[in-house]
Order: sequence, then structure tokens, then C-alpha cells
Amino acid sequence: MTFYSLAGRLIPLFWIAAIVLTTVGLYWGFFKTPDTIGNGMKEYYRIIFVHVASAWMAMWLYGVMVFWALIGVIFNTRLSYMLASATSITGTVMTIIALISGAIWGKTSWGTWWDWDPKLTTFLILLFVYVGYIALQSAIDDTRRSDKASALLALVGLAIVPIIYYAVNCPDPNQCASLHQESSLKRVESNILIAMLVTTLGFWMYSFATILMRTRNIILERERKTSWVSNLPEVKS
Amino acid sequence: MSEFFYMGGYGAYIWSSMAAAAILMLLEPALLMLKRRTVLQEVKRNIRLEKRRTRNKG
Repeated sequence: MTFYSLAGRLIPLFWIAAIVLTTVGLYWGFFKTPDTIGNGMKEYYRIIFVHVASAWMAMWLYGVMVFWALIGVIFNTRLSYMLASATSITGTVMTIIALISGAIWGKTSWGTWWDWDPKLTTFLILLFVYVGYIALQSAIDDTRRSDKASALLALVGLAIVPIIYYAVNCPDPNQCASLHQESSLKRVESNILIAMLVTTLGFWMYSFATILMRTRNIILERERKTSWVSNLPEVKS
Repeated sequence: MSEFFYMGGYGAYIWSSMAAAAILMLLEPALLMLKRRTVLQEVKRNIRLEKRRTRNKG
């Protein structure tokens, strides 16, 4: 079976998983959790369920994108470049959701939409790296060259991921003053943790679904002149 | 029910962040489906043109 048809079979399954998990996660987050949490956070902390899920996926997908880009550079396999390129857009969507929900949360909890705090700033840079990757990819017409060039950009941009991590889990609070709270999972109430993790899984399944859909589109576009594409049932009908 | 949407006065913040996520996560697959349709149309058109060309040559 080709990757194209395998992906076609998997996409509906990932969609079902994404819808079920996200619904369960949000249900849990809205009906099974307390209205206030320890550090003075009121109901608005519930933004956490989309904020953390999207922020984790934004960083995770960057790693996935670099992985495929690296495989592409080493083995020169076309499919891995296509996967890297498909991942970049879902990663950008997740970064934007994290930034928007974070700004709204910031407004309620810190009283400001935005602050040049290390966590927020590094996350904005992550968005720029994603956008830079996409722009570079679409700026070069020759796909083989654009794949390689953008793969290198993705590798260089990888430096931002540990910086984001240390910006939020600052080892010495005196050295990096941060508004953003530490992401300590140990102090979180277990129902909130469950809701957060299930929603994140849902977003992960969503990422699988959209990335596979996009990869299929890229395959069709790039291989449109091959005989296997013209023999596809959806082309013949 | 309205108390649920009120969320202790933070409803606007909570629901707008949920809505932003929902809009983006519905838009992305919608655009992908649209793109698939246009790419498939393009492929079919190319095949038709190719057939016509070979027929004319023969």
C-alpha cells in the first residue's frame, strides 16, 4: 500500500479520535474541575485547556518538523520533506492558538494582553521561525531546493525550543523575571491534569489528521504527472 | 445554564479563547478539503489535455 492510500484510510480514524478526545477533555475541564485553584486563579484558569494543549503541540510539532527535515537532508527522501512541510502549517496554527489564548488569559490574570516576558517573547519567535520556514518554502520555485533550504532553516530554528523551555522553567527566578508561571505538573489538581492531558491528546490527533490531509495534497500536487496519480479512483471518477 | 456561560464573570475571556481555537481548527481542515478539490480538478484537467494532445498527434 502506498503512503497516500494508507494516509487516506487513517485520516477518518484520527478525526474520530480528535473529536472524541477533545470533547471528553473539555467536558472534564468544564464540569469536573473546581472553579478556583490554589494560587488565586478563578474560573479563567479554564483557558488552560486550549492554551496548554496548543502550546505543547506547537513545540512538539516543531520537533516533528525538524525530524522529517533532518531525515530528508540525510536520506534525500522526498516524502519526509513533504511531511516536514505539511507539519509546519499545523504547527503555526497551534502557535497562533497558544498566543491568542495566552493573551486572553494574560488580560484576566496579569491585566495585560502582552508583555515582553521571556516565555511570551520566545513563543513569538517560534511563530516567526514557523512563518519563516513557510515563506522560504514558497519563495523558491524548485521544490528540491526549497525543501533543502527550508529544512536547514528548521534545523537552525531548533535552538528556540530549549530556550522556550528554560524561559518557563527558569532555574533561578532572580535571573529571569517572568510573569508566566512555571509549568509544574505536580501541583496541579488531578482533574485539571486529566482534562489538560486528554485535550492535548485530542489536539495531537487533530494534528495527525490535518498533517496527513496536507501531505496527501502535496503528494497529489507534486506527482500530478505520474501514472499512479492518473490511475487513482478519485481522479478517474 | 446561564451561570455556566457566565463563568463567575470571566465567560467572555474563556469563551472567546475557546472560540478562537475552534475557528482556527475548523478553518484549517476546511481549507485542506477545498485545496484537495482544486488539486484533483487540476489533475483531471491535465489528463484531459494530455489525451487530446496525443489524439491530435495520432
